[in-house]
Amino acid sequence: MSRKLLEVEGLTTRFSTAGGEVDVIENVTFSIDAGETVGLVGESGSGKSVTALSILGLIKPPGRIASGSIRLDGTELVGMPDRALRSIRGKDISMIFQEPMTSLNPVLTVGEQIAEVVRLHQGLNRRDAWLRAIDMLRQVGIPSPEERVRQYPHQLSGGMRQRVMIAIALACRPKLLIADEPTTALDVTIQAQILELMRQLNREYGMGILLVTHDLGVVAQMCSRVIVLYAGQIVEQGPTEEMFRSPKHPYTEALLKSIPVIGERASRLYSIPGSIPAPGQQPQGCRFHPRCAYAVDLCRRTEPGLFRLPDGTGTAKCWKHADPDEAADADGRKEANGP
Amino acid sequence: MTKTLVEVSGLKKYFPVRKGMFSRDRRVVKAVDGVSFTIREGETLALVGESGCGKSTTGRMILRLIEPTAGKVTFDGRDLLALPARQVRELRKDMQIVFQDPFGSLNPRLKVKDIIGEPLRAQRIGSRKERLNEVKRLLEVVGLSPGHADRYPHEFSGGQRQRISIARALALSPKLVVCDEAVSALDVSVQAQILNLLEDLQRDFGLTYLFISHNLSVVHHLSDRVGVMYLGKLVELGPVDRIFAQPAHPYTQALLSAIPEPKVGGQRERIVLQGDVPSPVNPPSGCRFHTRCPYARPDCRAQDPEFRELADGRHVACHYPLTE
Repeated sequence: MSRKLLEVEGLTTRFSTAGGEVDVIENVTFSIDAGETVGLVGESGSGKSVTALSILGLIKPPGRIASGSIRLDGTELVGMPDRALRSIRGKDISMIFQEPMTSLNPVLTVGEQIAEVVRLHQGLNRRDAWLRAIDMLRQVGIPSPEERVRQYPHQLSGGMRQRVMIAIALACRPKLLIADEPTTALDVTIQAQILELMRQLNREYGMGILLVTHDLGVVAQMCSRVIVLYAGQIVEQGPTEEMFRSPKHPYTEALLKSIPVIGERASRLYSIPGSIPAPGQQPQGCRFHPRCAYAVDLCRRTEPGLFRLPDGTGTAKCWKHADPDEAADADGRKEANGP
Repeated sequence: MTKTLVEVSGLKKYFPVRKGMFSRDRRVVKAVDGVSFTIREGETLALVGESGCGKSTTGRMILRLIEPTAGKVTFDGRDLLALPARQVRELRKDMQIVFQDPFGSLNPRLKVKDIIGEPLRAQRIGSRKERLNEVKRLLEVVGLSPGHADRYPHEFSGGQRQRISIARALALSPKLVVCDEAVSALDVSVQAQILNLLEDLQRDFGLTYLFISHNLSVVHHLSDRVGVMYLGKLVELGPVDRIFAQPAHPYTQALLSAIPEPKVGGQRERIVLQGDVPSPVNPPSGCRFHTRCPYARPDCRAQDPEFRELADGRHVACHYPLTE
């Protein structure tokens, strides 16, 4: 039986803006098992990065976690004092970001940056920390690590910098790695190297990975389960294979249809009409209904719940997958209350 | 036989390496190092490759936005590099460019009508009123509404801004449009809208595209022929279906195998190239790909392979093509 590593329940993160309070993510619930790689996908503005930052406790005013719970190995992170959270970040949870150039400190050598993490979290002395840095660089596949360890970030290529980021993130053997678009800024051949490295480290260390990305190709190759976000809500969740073979939510379906696939040349790509609503301007009912090809009256009036799919593998936030009685009920009740 | 619109031969661009004001560094970056190809009227030719391979520099040299170091560009039968500046400006009507960044390529202080109308004004076409009517027509052509003419770029989403850039490129009814990573910054659902728009416009106006992109799936969807670049040189050029089905150059093969495909199962065998792309300041001897090529033999290191035509009509720069 696999162990639940991360449990996120009913997470709502709220930002105060000039126009009032806005929920950027709303009632987000999912979990990651130890050793599992889960994909979090969605387009810009869907709330992917805010979800990742919330888990790390890095949401700063004007934003805050309004409700919900985030448990790592059973320990509640929401409401934990900053000091305690800081000792968890970097040690138990690590993160790698999209842009390795801006995430690395340009005035410290890469060795100093890796050594800093292990000295801080694991109390290693200067010498041991330095040796650990060299060892980490070797593990992420950087050639001649004894020389590279003394170099500054600008002396490295993009792929190499991302390897250094991964070395820093993994130096303390975290239980959970959050990777936010880790390969988006890289060329495909370098991306292939980094993905291969993440796969290998995942096997060796058995850590859980939350892979935040907009690239469905990366998800198909890396993740065992996928979570799809739309306008701040989870719209579908399930095993990768099942989702790619037969997506259950119309948004997932549309997303998959709109990407060109090599070898399946369509004369015309499917395109989703309109664009994603801004936080605070979501339509009534299902948030996807104005762009949905299947929308009916019920969708315009009443927001669907996350329904468990009949095969028991996943959930979808769409009336298509509701118990027929339940849908009829919601429909009827609304009509009864109508004018 | 369709007419050749653009003919590029032996095109080179060397940028000097400048390290400081008094630097004596005489080294050069060979960004593009002898590239030859043609673009036929009405087709979409794609240039693909990783960052730094010279694909954008090539596109810009064709428009003479960057002056080539050597080589020849013939556009519609005229030698572009021999023309005086005034006639180049005249020819620019026939060639336009759409850039990647829909945020950086539109002037935030100008209204949409001034952005799209600018090329018309620069070429002194029509009266003020005629130009405004033309702008409104162009907005409709690209799927926006004439009412958008009085708005500013910040009021639009990324996809809409890219539509504005396309409208501006179309203002002078060009023959050739260079799309430099035109959909790379867009979300997939918006990317699909813009790709469909580009296809519609090509059909309606008989446009010719030079489509520069690093996204091979998009290239496969949109183009007729594709040229693969590596370190400033073309390594393979030919019909997109043939090259994607059976690459002849080992680099093309590795590049194709590296794309994570959005489907489960049926993934091509992955060839993970070792190392990084070498520096164009000091490219490897012989075949430039030999340092990373899984099939390299001793003579690959010594001799630069010629860019030659294979039996099936495609061109490849490799001593030992995979299809032979």
